[in-house]
Amino acid sequence: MKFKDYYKIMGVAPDASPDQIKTAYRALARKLHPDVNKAKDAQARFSELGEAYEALGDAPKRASYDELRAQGWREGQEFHAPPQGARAGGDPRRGPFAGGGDGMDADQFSDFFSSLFGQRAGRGRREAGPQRGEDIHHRIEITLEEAYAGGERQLQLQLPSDEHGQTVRRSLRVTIPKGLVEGEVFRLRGQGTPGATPDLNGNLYLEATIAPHRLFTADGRTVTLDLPLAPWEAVLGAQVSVPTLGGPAQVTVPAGSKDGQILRLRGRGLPGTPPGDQHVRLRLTVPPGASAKAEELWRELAKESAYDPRSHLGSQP
Amino acid sequence: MSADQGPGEAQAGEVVVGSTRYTLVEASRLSGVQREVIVSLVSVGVIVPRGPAPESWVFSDLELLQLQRAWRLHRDLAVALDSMPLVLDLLDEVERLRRLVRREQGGVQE
Repeated sequence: MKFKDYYKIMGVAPDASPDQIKTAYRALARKLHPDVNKAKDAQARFSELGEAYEALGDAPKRASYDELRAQGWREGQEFHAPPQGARAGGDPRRGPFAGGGDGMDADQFSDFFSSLFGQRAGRGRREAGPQRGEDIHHRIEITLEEAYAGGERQLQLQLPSDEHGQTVRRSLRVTIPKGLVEGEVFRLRGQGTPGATPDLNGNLYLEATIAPHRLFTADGRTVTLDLPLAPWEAVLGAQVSVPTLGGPAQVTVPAGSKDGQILRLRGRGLPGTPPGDQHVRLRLTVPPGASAKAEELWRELAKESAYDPRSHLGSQP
Repeated sequence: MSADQGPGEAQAGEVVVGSTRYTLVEASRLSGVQREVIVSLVSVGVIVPRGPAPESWVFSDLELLQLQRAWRLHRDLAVALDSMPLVLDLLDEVERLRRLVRREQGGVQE
C-alpha cells in the first residue's frame, strides 16, 4: 500500500496547529460534503479528508504519523505496516465535530490508515435491538435511453465493511427501473452494509442523474427536442419525421409556425403515470449560401411581401 | 456480502416513492437517525409527518431520505438543527438551478 500525505490532503503545513487543522477540516468538509458537492469524486475525497482529519486531529495519532514522516516516509512510497506495538492509540472514533457523533456515512478509511492505527472500533449503538446495517447512498449517471427503457448496469462500489473499517470493493449488477427522472432515487434492498442478520442489511440508494443527450433534454418526464426547419417549411407547413425515445414519429408542422414554438407529442416523453410528453421546439434556420436563381427568388419574395418584422420597435430613423 | 456477484444476478432496483408508511420507531431504525433527532427535525419543519403526535406520526420513504440527509449535514458539518430547513431549501434550489444550466448546456449541439 502507498504512504499517504495527510497534510497534503488537508492542505495544511506539517507544523500546523491543532486549531489550523480543525479550521482546514471544516472548510474542506463544507466544500466536499457529498450532500453539498455533487461532483462524482466528492464522496471519495470527503472520505479521504475524514481519514486525514481522523489521523491529524487526534494528538497521539498525529504524533505517530509524524514519527513515520520523520523516518523519511513520503507520499506514494510503498509502505509496510509497522509492528503491532508501534501502533498509535488515541480515541478510537471521535466525531469530526464536538459531540462525537458516530462518524461519516462513508467509512471508507484506507488500508493505510488501518495498518497505522488498527482496525477502527465499532460505531456507537443507535437504537436498542439487533444491529441494522447502514444505508449507502450513491449517485449514478444514466443515459436518457436507460431512463426511458430501464436497463442493467454493472456497478463498482466502494463499501465499508462494517466493523473492520476496511474498504470492500464490490461489483454489483443492478436493474435500473424504467421511467426514472433526474434526481429520483431508487433502492436496492439489503445491498447496504450487512446487519446482524441478512434481513437487517442496510439498503443501497442510488440517485439518478441523466447524462446529457445528443438530441434531447429532459425536464422531469418532459423530453425536449429542437427541430430545425427551413423557412418555407415554417411558412407552408410540413410533414416531418421526428426522433423520439420510442422511435421516430410523424409530426405535422402547421403552416405559419414561428421560431421557438413548441409542438407537444403527448405521452412520448419518459414513461410514468402519467407518462411525460415530448416537446418539439421549432427552430427556424436559414439555408447556407444561395444560388443566383434562389437569390433572385428571395428578392422577388421580399418585394412581394409587405411584412415588417420590426413594426413593434416603432418608426426607424 | 464481500463476494462479487457474477453477471446475470442483477439486483432489481425499485423507485423510492412517497407512499410507504413508517412509524417513528421504524423510521428511526431504518434511517439510523435517533428518535430524539427526528423529533427535533420535525419540530423545526424539515419534514411534516402525518399525524398529530409522535406516537401517531407516519413517515414515507422519501421523508426517511430527507431525515438521513439532514442528519448527515448536522453530524458532518455541524449545521444547526433550526437552520436545517433553510439549508435544505437552499441546497435544493442550487441543485435545481444547476440542473437547469446543465440542461441548457447539454442541449447545445457542437
